[in-house]
Amino acid sequence: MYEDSSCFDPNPTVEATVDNNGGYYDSTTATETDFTVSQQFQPPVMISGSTINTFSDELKLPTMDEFSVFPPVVSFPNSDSQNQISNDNNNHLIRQMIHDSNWAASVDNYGFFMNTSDQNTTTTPTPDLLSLLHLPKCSVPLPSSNLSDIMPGSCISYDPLFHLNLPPQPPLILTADDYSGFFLGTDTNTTNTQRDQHNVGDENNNDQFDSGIIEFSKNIRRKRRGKQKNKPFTTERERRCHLNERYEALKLLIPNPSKGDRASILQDGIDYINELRRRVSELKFLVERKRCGGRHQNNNEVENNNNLDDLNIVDDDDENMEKKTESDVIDQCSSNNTLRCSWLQRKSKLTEVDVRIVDDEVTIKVVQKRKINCLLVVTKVIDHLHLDLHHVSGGQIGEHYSFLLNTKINEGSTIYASAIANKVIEVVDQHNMAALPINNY
Amino acid sequence: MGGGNRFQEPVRISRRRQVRKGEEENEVNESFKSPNLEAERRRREKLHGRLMALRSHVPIVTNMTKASIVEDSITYISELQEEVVNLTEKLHEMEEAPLELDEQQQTDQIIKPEHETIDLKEEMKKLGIEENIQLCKIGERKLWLKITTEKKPGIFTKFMEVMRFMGLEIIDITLTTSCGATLICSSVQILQGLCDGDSVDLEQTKEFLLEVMRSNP
Repeated sequence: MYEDSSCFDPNPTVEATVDNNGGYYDSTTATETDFTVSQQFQPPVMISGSTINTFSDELKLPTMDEFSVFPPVVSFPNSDSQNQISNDNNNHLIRQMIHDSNWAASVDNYGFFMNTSDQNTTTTPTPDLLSLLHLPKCSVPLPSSNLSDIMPGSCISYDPLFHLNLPPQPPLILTADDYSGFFLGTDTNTTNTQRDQHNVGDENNNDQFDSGIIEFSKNIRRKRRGKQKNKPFTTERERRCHLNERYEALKLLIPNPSKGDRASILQDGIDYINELRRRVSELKFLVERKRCGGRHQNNNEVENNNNLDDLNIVDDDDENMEKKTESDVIDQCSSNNTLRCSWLQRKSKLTEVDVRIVDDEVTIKVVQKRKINCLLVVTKVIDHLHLDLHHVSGGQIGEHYSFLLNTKINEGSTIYASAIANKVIEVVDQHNMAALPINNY
Repeated sequence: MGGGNRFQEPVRISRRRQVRKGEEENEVNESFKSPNLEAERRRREKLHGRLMALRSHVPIVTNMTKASIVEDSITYISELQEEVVNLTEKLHEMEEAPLELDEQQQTDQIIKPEHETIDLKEEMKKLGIEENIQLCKIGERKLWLKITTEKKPGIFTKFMEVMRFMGLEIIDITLTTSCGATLICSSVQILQGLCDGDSVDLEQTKEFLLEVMRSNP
């Protein structure tokens, strides 16, 4: 986001205050500075975007005549510790500048000074101040028209700084995307629309300047006022609030949100959507099978009814072609060639239940985080749900209990995964609640 | 040169970070005093990635803004939830309704389980599997037991009830079924306070277990 350094250099400034108060610093010292010369000057970045973000909506920038930005000065105290510039000197310089230039500076908010005094008076002090910050010439082409408009006369020698003085012109100097947001006070995730706004506004710079007031709100009203009207929010705060509300609403929909932060909410949302989709497809399958199976069995002999294995349905259909007259029902059944499969997880504070169903086999995994034996209640539930227990294994693992149960769904039962999982975890939790106080004694 | 030397430091510091756009940028970044710039960037990218993933799961598309992605997913989730409820209700209705139609089938199904149990017993006999209980002590308060019995519905529940009744805590357990028989292997621990390890009468316990297993609910 920040190109090669600006043309300014803090060092000469410091020395300037010490040696030559308001004097023009000669160029020789400037070259000894850290920053390379003749590169694009991007002082607004130095202002530090975070401060700009706090601009109030009502803030109005003064005209170009009034506007003097001295980001280098302000940023000196903040930055360049590695450049070994003493903060004291910088502060002194800044204070001096404040005194000199009659600024109604809102230093806290912006980090750069806004000159809100008359148009006429500010031009004189600024050259001096600019001279303090002697900068090597910048190679960036400047809009000369603006120069003539804003800073007559001697200002031409301060070419580099005119970048500073032309906030709506960032697109000219702009090379990185991030930079485009700064003047408008948005964060680095500016959308393209805002960047477009910059560009559009850039073309109309002169108009803006001539109008004398530059709206320094989050949505800088430029010529694209029509576009702004399409947006439902006029302030960034409203937009943020709305976004936060949306996140909260999503959080409410999700059962058992683990953490409260946005990334987790999104991840939980994704998982929940996947789970819901699986459940819907499972239920649809069951409904379809029930519908098919009912009509199917009505017309067939008993032996054929018992075989609900999907792989065999096709064979049965073939056999029953002569008997059945409802060909459409056959089509529906044979379309169910896929195996029924579903998978669900339920987690509670002490328990995790994992239910997987493939065809008619149900695998239930229960992990207990305490040493409370829940196997009895689980088997009771399994009996209650008419599941045929085929295999169980598990036991204590450290402080945990873990069990894996393989069961089969009895024929004709339309149990579905979420029912199993919900019932199991409910029963286990009840058991835990009852057991825990006893254990604590 | 002094200036050159001063340049070294920001470069050195920035090497720890991903040097993306040159030293100046990093130096200015440090000038912003954001020591966790990289962390913040990663956090933002993670959030953005998850938002895109959410977007890819949701078929509803109104806008590509962050707020609308979240909003669309809210709508979609509500829709899915409704659909689940509807389908569940439908399934329950269907479960009750066909009873009238399939009375014949119902009676047939009732008959069937009995057939099956008879078959299972015969199968067991065919393979020579006999009912059997083995019980032995493997520690001061630990027992090991192995039970071979007929496969019956609810037999495991009975077994667990007996364990609880006798005050035996399960350390690990394995149950398998094959050919109409059930095999339970388990090591259990005698809970404290119930009875002394020595005083457990193995024979008595065995007989008790066998009796329970054979009984019909």
